[in-house]
Amino acid sequence: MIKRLRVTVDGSTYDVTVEVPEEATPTDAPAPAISAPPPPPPVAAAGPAPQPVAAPKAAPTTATPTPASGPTGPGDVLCPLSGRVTAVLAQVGQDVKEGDHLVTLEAMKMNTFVFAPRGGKVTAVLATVGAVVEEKQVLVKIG
Amino acid sequence: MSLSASQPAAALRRSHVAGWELLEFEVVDSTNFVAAQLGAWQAVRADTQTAGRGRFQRSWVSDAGGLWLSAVVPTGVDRSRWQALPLVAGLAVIQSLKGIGLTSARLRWPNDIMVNERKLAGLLVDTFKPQLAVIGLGVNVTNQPAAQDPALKATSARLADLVSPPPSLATLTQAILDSLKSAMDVMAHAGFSALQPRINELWGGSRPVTIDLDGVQRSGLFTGIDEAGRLLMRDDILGAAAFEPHQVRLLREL
Repeated sequence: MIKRLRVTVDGSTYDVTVEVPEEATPTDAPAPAISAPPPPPPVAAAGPAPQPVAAPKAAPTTATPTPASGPTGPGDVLCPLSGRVTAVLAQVGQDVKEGDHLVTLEAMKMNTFVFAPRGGKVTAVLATVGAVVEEKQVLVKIG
Repeated sequence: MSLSASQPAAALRRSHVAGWELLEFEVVDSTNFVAAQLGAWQAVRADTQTAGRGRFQRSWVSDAGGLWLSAVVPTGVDRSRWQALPLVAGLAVIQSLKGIGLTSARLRWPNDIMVNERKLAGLLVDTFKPQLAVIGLGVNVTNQPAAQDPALKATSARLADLVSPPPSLATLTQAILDSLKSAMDVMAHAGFSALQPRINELWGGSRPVTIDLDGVQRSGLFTGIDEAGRLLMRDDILGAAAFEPHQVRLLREL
């Protein structure tokens, strides 16, 4: 289960995404790590830098690194708006042509269909059904 | 699926209805998929759908005698202005049903049209292209949904059992498209806030519900929506609360 939490540390607010495993077992869960929000913009003020906190301590959370919205390649299919993934049709290794339906998102009770912007082979599928995704996040990579 | 594969044979009929161009087909996979190829103020009706859909990829029985209609509306670039589109479409459908003599229909959040505890009509809004939304609508009229799925016997309603005589599909199509056009015009010019009080009259009063907030269930009294389109709920512990539509995966009436 993906949860979005807002935490405030030293007056700074961070939006973080954590995944609460449905049936976490010690063997399948990687060492809990923190899905740290991007550091706050540098500020001139002196004083200790706020420590980003990911989640309340009580919840045994496993990190879900929010897919980086860093540099994207020409075959990256980006999320057009924030919402929830309701269907993933693309599969790794699949040959797709321009206009093929790859992913469906639901936002504001409306479905948004995401299509292949070009043909090629699917090299990665980063969207999973049920996940909350943000605008410009990479959903699928086409090589 | 590629949407281009969804294009059926040429329309049986093309006509102009209440400010829309209406394309009518005998059978399509989904009227929304056909409408995906169209532009603003075009609409699609089919006698049957082979792959009618509801929310969460659920299927929707679409046998002959029901109204299976999709209408393409322009949405512009400002998404926040249009986030209540499914609610506005529900308002338009209920108003058109009133026009043909059915006064007992109500909305169930976000986009079901109910008569008592039975579902008469459902809405599904899809966006396939930027700045266009496809409002898909299924209304049970004289069709026999329970013949396709016996489970629907207890949960579905039909206009044929509520209005005598039931409207023809042509009359119902015209009434709904007319009402939808008016509601879109109000939303474009006056914004959603002009329609919100009218929508809040359509829930059939406050009612106890459970909402699914990303796997966390919360029960309370559903009281309507606010001017931003957020769902309003009240409970004894936390008092009144407003939820963004995307936070609420599902609402169940108790």
